[in-house]
Amino acid sequence: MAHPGMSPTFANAHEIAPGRYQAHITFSMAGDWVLLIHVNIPDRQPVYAQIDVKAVQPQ
Amino acid sequence: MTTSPNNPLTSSEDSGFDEAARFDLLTVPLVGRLLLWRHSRTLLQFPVLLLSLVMILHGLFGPSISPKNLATVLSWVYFRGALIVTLLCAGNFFCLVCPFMLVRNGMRRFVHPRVAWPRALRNKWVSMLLFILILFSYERFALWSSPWWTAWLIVAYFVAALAIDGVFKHATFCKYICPIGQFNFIAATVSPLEVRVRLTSVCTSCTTNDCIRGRRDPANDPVVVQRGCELALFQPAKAGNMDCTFCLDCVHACPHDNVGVLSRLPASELMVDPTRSGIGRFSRRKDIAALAVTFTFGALLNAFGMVSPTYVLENWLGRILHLNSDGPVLSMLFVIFLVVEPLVLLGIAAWISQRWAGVNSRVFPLMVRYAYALVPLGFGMWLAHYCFHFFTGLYTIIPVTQSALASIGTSLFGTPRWTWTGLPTPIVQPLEVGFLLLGLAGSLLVAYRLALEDSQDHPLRAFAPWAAVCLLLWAASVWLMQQPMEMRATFMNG
Repeated sequence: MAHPGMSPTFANAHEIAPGRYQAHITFSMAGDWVLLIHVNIPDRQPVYAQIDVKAVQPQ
Repeated sequence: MTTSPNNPLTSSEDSGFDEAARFDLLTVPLVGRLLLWRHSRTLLQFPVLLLSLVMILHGLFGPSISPKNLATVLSWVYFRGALIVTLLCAGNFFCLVCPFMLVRNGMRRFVHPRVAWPRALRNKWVSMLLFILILFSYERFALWSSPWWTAWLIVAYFVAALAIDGVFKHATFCKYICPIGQFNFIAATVSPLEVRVRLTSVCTSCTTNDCIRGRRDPANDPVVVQRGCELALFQPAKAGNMDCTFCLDCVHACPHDNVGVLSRLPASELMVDPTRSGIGRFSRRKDIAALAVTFTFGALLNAFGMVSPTYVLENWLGRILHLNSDGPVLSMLFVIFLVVEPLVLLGIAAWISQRWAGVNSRVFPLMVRYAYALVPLGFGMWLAHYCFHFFTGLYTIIPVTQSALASIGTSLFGTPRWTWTGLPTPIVQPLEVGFLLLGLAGSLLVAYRLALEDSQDHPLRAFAPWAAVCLLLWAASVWLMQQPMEMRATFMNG
């Protein structure tokens, strides 16, 4: 959640096909979210990425 | 309408406590001794100044993601929560530790302004508009999601305090400009502590009035060795917390050690209408009444800006008015909630009260008089809202600090524990309802006391319309707090 102090959500991604990973995330509230992707690769530097998810609708 | 005699708050009957039996914070071991030390304010301001500088630096150069930045986490989760809890439990101690005033006091060692603030601006209109501007900017520019803008807001405060008090004498910035200060002044009217004289009889024999003039050098009278109140609050005639920054200058200046930080019945100052030093009568101050209304309705509006129905309403307004940008629609909402709605509700209540109870007053003065009764309700809403963020994000400072330290190469506190957030929402929600109920009870009590004074024959008739307004706003507050939260940086069209 883009607002400070709100509870984050965590999920691990699993390989579903060579080079393709899938994770299921439950957005606990509506609004703007930020996905922070943290990739650990053996013997290499970790990779970080950020994806903005705008206007998640209320469930 | 009848009015109270001058300064009834100095009598034990109206303040709810026996004058000599009050709790006095300055007599508490350690705390009292610390506050009585002449440099206590500077000591308390210094760490807050350092924190402000850290927030500015982290806001400008740290992570751009709001929940990971000290500027946004400290400003929008901790500062607001701690501020409102302190106002509820004690008083306006955040003005006491204000870092802007530390820098300003440093400047005043070299700069001695001689210009007086223009007479036409010696009121709350400018500061009230700035307060609205802050509320508007918070929604329009999603300040909560922008460390960069939050940092610049803090910088702007420092610059404004230095610029205003560098040109104009006395505490012009605090009294006439600072939006946070005005929020604190209004909110502190329901606080349980107040800076005031211990025994009024001591003041009647005082000839020096150091509490306002400042303590002079006995060898060289024009030289002030301890300044008096810079906000023009003369202690013997001071009534309540309005305009009091808790700076304790009067405490240090009084040669009779007759000023304390005393307990009182919260909101008791709203139940009476004495002539207040540096302020006058509340019932004649349309600007302060407007500030009280903004404080109350702004509390609802600020919470309304973060729930799902807001976006539905804004998109609907945009569609029917053929507007496709946030600004005009948001402006319209502000006008509706802060101008039209208060005028309609207070106007109808005043008119019914006047007609039904035969209150001897015109409608508009009645609206001004009872506007102050809404303050506890507004306070309850701010309390519920800010405490929601404060308690549900109570532990977030830990991972954010860990992350900030890690970014400068210090792994002393380990890797950030982002799973640490705060108390679960189901625990916080009953607290919110309790705060709202507390606010409602306070507003009803104040309105009833005012009604008792206005209509001795039909006090319930004078009270009923205002009680209806309070209940309506309270119901709206409860409804708001039950809505699913939704925070978007843009309002319209996703």
